[in-house]
Amino acid sequence: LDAAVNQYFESNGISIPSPQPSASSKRDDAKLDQMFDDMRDPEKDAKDEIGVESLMKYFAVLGVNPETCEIFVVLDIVQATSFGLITRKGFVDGWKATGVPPSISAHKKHIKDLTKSLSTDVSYFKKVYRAAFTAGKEPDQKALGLDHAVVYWDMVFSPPGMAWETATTDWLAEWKEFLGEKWTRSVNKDMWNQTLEFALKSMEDESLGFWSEDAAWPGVIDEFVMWCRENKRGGVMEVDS
Amino acid sequence: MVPPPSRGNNFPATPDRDDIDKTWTYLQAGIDRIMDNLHEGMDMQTYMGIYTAIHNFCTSQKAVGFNPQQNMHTGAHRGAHLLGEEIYKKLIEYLTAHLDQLVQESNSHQDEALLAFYIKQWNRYTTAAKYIHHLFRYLNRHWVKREMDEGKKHIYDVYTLHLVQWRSVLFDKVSEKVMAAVLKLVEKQRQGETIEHSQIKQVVDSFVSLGLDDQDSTKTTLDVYRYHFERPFLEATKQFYTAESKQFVAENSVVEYMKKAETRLDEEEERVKMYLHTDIAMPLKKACNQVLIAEHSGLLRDEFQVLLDNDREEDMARMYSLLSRIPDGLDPLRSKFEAHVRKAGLAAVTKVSADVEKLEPKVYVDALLEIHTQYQGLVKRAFNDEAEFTRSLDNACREFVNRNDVCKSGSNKSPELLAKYTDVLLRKSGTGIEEAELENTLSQIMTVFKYIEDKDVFQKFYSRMLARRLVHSNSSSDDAETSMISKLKEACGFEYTNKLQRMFQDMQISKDLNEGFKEHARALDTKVLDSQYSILGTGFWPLTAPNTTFNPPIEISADCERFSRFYKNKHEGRKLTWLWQLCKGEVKATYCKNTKTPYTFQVSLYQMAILLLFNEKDHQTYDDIASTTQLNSEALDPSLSILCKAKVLLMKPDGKVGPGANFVLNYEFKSKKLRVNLNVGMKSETKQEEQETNKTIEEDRKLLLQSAIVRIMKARKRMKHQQLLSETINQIRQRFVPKVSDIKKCIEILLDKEYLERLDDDDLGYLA
Repeated sequence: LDAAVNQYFESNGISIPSPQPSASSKRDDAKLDQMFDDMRDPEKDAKDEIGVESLMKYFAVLGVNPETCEIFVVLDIVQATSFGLITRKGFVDGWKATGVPPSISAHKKHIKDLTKSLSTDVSYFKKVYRAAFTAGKEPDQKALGLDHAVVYWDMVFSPPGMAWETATTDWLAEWKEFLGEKWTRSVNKDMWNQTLEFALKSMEDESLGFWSEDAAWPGVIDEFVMWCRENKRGGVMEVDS
Repeated sequence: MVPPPSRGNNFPATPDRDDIDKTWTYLQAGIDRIMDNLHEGMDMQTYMGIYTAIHNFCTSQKAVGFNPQQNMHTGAHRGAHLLGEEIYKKLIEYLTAHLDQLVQESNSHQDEALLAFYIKQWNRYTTAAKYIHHLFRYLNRHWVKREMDEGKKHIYDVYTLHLVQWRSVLFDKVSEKVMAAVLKLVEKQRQGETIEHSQIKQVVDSFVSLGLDDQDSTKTTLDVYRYHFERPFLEATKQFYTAESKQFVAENSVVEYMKKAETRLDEEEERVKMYLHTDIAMPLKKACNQVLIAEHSGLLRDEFQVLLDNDREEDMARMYSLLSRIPDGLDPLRSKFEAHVRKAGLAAVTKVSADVEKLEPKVYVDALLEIHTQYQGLVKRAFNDEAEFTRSLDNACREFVNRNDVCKSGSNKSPELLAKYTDVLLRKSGTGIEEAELENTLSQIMTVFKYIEDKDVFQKFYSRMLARRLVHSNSSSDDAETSMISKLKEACGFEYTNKLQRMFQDMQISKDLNEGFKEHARALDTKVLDSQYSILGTGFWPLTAPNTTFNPPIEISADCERFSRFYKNKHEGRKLTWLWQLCKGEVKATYCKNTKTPYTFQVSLYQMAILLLFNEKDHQTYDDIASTTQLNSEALDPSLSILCKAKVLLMKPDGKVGPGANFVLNYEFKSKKLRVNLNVGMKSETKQEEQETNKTIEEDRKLLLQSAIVRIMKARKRMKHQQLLSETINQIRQRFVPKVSDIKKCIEILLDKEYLERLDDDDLGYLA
């Protein structure tokens, strides 16, 4: 297949000066460059960046539902560094790294495939989840606003993402309720990342038997566990009562 | 004993050397005499005769054809072997018969008479055995030695043979009866009768002598003694005391029982010294401890609370010494003691803390100390000053010092009150305490300090109050201050007292500076105020710049500027910030009509600035004062109120100090004292200061925790989360007891600041 792809690019005969030595990769770069330019709004976007509006259009082109975590699959690929901001370099390097032919249809298929694997491939899900933090935060900010974070949790923890729930407990709902009651601050990277670790553990053991105050969980997770126990909810109730 | 016969002499009546029966008959006559009539003595001739007869018999050539010469020189091996055995057997037969006879005789005796009989016969028999042993020396030296060298079992030298025979013929039959008699006698003694205990001693010696090692007859063991004497003795002892103690506790109080047990234990120890073998000392003690103490330990322990409640020190000491004799006997006492002290401490605090707000520091600290002193004394006097009990005391004290009714209103209360009490002691006051007594009290402060968990809180309050004492120079004695700081240093290390010491240094340096300044002014012949300046290092003093603007009066500012120039000349580049709120001075009121000698007012600088305005004009409006002094209302209002309250100024209209009020100088001012102190702090000020102090504590703790975490991680680079927690607690514990959740918060802050990172498996990594 690679050979065929290369053939295709060579026949197109596009050439752009590039530090890359291989001719085929040069042609790939050119094609991706072209795709980046196609989505860029020449009036609103800077030369090597695209903003939110162009991004939304790009999602539409790809057939990605902007209200699901599919967008994080895309943003992970194109190496978004903050909310709604994609650089030319991130776009070109990112897509090139996937090894997928530089065409919308191939990209679309690739995204669909990856999205499908979200709920089954934990390590890939973790990658996308972590990318969501970077891709979702405002530029110049170190943390996510709580409102945004909750929206993102909604997206990643429900299909096509990984639903955070167990036999007796809708953990995502509990988590959001807890945050609403007790949490007012922003969500830093550690809290974001550790929430996933906790989510994964809680789905293995909904009694939360793995938790201990002395363990490495951040304070907010400790508080959440205490909150769950006080409220005698979900899986915790089964164990405690 | 008897010299060996010389070989050249001839003796008559020696039997035919080859005939065993004749030889034995000859020998027996002699042995009989030794056995039964030794006191009559034995003449040399008989002695020699017997010795020679044995020699001759053993060296006879009957068995083989060796010539005597050869036999003599080669040790007469074969011949001596065969013939020695016959004599040896005859001797055994003889002894068996002799001892059988004794057993018969013993049947007619019992109890003490039996003991007397046994001892008498034993002495006679063993003395005889020694003589016979010598008579048979030739046999011992050759035949017996040879047999033993060849590893033959049950061949002994002649003396030992006597003991073996005694043991197997007589001892097995009579030892139980003898022992029964011994035990009867001992029981009599235990019941208070006087007994002839030397008899028992001799029986013990006899039993010990019979301990022959079957493997090696040259050695002795205590096996026979242990089996036949110790075992029944211990058994009887246990029975006796089990019965006695059971009955005694049924009829008497526990305290009485302890006395009884103590006496009994002493008696038994004495008994060992008096007439028992030392080998029994340990097992006897153990047996007594078991039946007299261990079996009643529950009862004793139950009584302990009663004794504690009633301060029965002597009885507690007794209980301690009894229970210390049995394994794990004291553990329950310690935990009861600990609980009791904690309760007592909490109760003492509750008693004095009806109104926490008004609680005098001295009253509180004294309440804590009283309990500690009381129970430390108890540990010393009743519990042998034992380290374990001291630890229980410490645990209890730590509990009630840090967690009591007073601390409920704020966990920082204990260190705060302790620091305040120290301040009271070190501050100049009317109630002058003697130097020695002050030192003593400071040591007591340290006793409580030792138990304080939040040592950082104490440090904060202490340094604030020390600053105040130094700035206002109302410390009672430099020596006492120094002594206190060195005590703290000893307890908590250099770092803890570093700033305190620097504060002292600053005061010393300031003194020199002032002298330099005076000299400088004299040299320039400028007229200066009688002023004192303190230069305080910003980093060391818990002081903050004034929170109001201030325009000092011209008299003051001129002097201040002069000093500033002087100082900057000496130390270029240093920045001076005037802490006006801490300045004070004295002014003379020459305007008062009622006195010839003018009053002296001791005032704060703010008050001075206000009063000096009245030199210009004897009435001033609030707004004029405010605009001239530049003081904000927070600083101005209290200063004015005090002046009005003391009637130095009169306010119109009456009411609250504030904009619109007018002030007039009171020419009619009257006071009983010529010096009037107007520089008195407001209650609300100190309250506010307390709150501030408490707030800085929380912030400092966060920093302290973070720096400890960074320090640990920097050294370790990578560490398990849990390990980091415990290490941090270890490092910080000397200052305060950190909560796990607080440490975790600090770790999160450091993660966020990217000093640390999370790695796999609950590990944390250090990011340089």
